[in-house]
Amino acid sequence: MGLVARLSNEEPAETWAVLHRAAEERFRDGMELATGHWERLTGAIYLFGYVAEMILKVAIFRTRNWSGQHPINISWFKNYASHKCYNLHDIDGLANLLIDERRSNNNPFDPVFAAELVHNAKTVSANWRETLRYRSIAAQHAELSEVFQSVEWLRLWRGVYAGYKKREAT
Amino acid sequence: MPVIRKEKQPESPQHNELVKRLVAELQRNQPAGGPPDAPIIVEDVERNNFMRVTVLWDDWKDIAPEARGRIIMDAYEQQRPQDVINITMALGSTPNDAERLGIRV
Repeated sequence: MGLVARLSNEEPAETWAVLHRAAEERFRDGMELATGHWERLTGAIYLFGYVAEMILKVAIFRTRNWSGQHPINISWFKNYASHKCYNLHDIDGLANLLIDERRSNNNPFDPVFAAELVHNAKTVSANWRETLRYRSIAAQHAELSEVFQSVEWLRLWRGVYAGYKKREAT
Repeated sequence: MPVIRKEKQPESPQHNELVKRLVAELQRNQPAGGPPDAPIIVEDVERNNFMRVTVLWDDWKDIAPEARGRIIMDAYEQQRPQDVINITMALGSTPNDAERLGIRV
């Protein structure tokens, strides 16, 4: 049985719980590429960008109070995100969507925190596109470092902006 | 295993001075002109009067991002307290960083 066939057995639906785990897996993969002997920096940035994307999507779904078993309806999400995001990989747009979502729920971010979220999303965006896979450019250490720091910020604070703490307390 | 505790950063020594200069620019409230080193304040007004504030300023360069946001909020608190509740984002950026990160005015 191939991986794709096994996937449909073992993880049949995309849910935010799956995305959450996948973000951690891709982060570890990225770290291997960033710190390994061969320093595959572009590959590391490529994976870190997806980590940022998945973390923000999970935060949006959690803010909407979806359960971790709720399958993600991609066509619904495309439509919902279209006013802020040029596509579903638009990290900057996803951060803005999250800010709007929180505000709509009458639970807005502190404006200084929102600015940090946007700044870190924009930093990843300035160094990443999903189309990097089609390019041969070699990333520089400074670019990797910028992306890594911003992705670390997103990982560190997701407990706050995705409402994990609130959930655990109730 | 060692325990490394990083204390909260103290308020930057420039905090009050930068708040004062930002307040002066908010008081001036003109779309152009002013001193060449004045901050550029961009207010993106959204639905229901919610507002995203971005301040482009060379003088941010030695100020941590979080401290920039606090300075912006303190300036609005002094000059336009009625608007503080509507501010959803307070972002400070140098013009160079803004260009690099695609922050549009």
